[in-house]
Amino acid sequence: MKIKILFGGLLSALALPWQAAAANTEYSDLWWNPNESGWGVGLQRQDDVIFLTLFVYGANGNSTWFVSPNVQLLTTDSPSSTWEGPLYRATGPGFAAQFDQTVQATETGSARLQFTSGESGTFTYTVDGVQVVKQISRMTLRQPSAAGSYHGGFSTKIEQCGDVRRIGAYDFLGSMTVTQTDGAIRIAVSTVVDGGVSSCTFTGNTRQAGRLGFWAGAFNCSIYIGLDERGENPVRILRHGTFTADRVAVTQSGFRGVLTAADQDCSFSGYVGGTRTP
Amino acid sequence: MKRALARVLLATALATSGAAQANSSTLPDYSDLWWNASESGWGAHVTLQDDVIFLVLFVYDAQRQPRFFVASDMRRAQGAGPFTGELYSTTGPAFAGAFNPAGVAVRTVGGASLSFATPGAATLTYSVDGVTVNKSITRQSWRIPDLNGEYKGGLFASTVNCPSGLPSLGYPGSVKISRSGDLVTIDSTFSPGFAEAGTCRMVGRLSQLGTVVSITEGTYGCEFFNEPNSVSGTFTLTAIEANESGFGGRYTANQGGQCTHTGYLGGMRRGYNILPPVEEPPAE
Repeated sequence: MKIKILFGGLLSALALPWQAAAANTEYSDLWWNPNESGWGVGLQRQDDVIFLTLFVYGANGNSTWFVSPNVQLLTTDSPSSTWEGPLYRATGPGFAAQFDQTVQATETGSARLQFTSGESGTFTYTVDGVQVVKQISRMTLRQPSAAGSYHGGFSTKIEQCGDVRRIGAYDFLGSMTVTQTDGAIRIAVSTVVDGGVSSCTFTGNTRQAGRLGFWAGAFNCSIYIGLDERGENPVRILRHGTFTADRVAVTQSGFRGVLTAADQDCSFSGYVGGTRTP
Repeated sequence: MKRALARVLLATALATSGAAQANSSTLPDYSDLWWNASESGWGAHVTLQDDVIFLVLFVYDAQRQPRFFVASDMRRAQGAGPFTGELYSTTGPAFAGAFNPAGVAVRTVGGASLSFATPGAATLTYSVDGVTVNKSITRQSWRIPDLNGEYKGGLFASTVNCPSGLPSLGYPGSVKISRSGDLVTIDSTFSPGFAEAGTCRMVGRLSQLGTVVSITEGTYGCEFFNEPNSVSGTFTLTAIEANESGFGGRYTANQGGQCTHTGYLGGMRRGYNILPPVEEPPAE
């Protein structure tokens, strides 16, 4: 059968050289050990520096805090990365008084973060020669809903295909509707290229870790590739498989996360997301 | 005391019973490290998850020793106005020993309020044992987020009084961001199937407030492949949140006269990098 292949800008398999895109894992959050409720550590990442604030208790039982304002990346930037910086104790004017510039900071040791994933890790710090090692994870308060209307989809590279002709890059973008209820999510994307409708539907479960979501489930895609040899009937490729969307941030302007997926033949890795439409 | 402890450890219950489901997020992400730039030495760690803020305030006591207070459940009344909640002081087992959470004692010392004037500026009011403190705070900045890159997304906005007469516009496609100093250029190529095909170039100045950035003093121009007329105007992009997966921000523009746009510009990172073609060595 001769098939008229049609590719548009919204739906493209690129026969171009490609490589993996860079990571910039978002660690900013409130972290804790859920078995040790009462102390915590605040992380704020800006580009390649984390500002760490540690909230603990002193020998007298009073609350106290330490800061490490320049925690730097020691390894490759990935969800499993190691960071380290000096740790300081500060003294200063009481909160009830007029604030002056008499703050004094003293280096007391170091802080080391070894993330094993985007949602947990090992926190090691030393204060005046005393070393403390803690397992930490993100603290979860609320699960934001991604429900809404977007324009979006996914942008991935394709690997590990039985049919090597599919290896490359793939974008699927269109009108997107997300519904989310009680830990279940459904993402429906559709687009029209050259008069043919293509669609993908992702259904799965959601889990929240701190500010980020983790979604997993199954997908089905019906991809319009053109008309048959008589130019009358649409020809479609049906793809189905499983997916995970990790470290999904739902924001005012949309949502975005890291996508991995596999269909009958290939593995996909890249990003999933959408920009809100008014 | 037990009731207070239960409140401050609210996160424990939520984390173990499945996080509460909330409505779709429409707030700027206030999560950040906040401070008063004229009073370096104290700060507030703010974590927003949907419509709840967990505030950790790190200050000093009357003996100049570091002390922290927490407001673990700050919310807005009827979904508007300042975030307010009770403020707690805690004592607990020393960090140098084994930590037993049963040894944590919680005392309500007053209240805390965060009133955000903009996504990057707020008034923090808190009271501790009858002493009330008011502070103006902003996000603390130390590194500009790296926006450079190629994205799949676009611009989507409501329009008012525009020549097209349409209530909205959508320019989906590829977006490339490049920065030189504080000058940011956003080149987009939008595709057929959703809107008219064409290209836009947006240029503006980048400013940073903590983890969010804004582009102001922006100008844009768009050309369409199938139309002779180009459009141009001014724009701002505010509350831009960038992370490993992409970026997005609030977009407002004026196309001249009374024509205005209000919406969002954003995209997910392109999932692959296209490598430049390998040059063949010259033939002998």
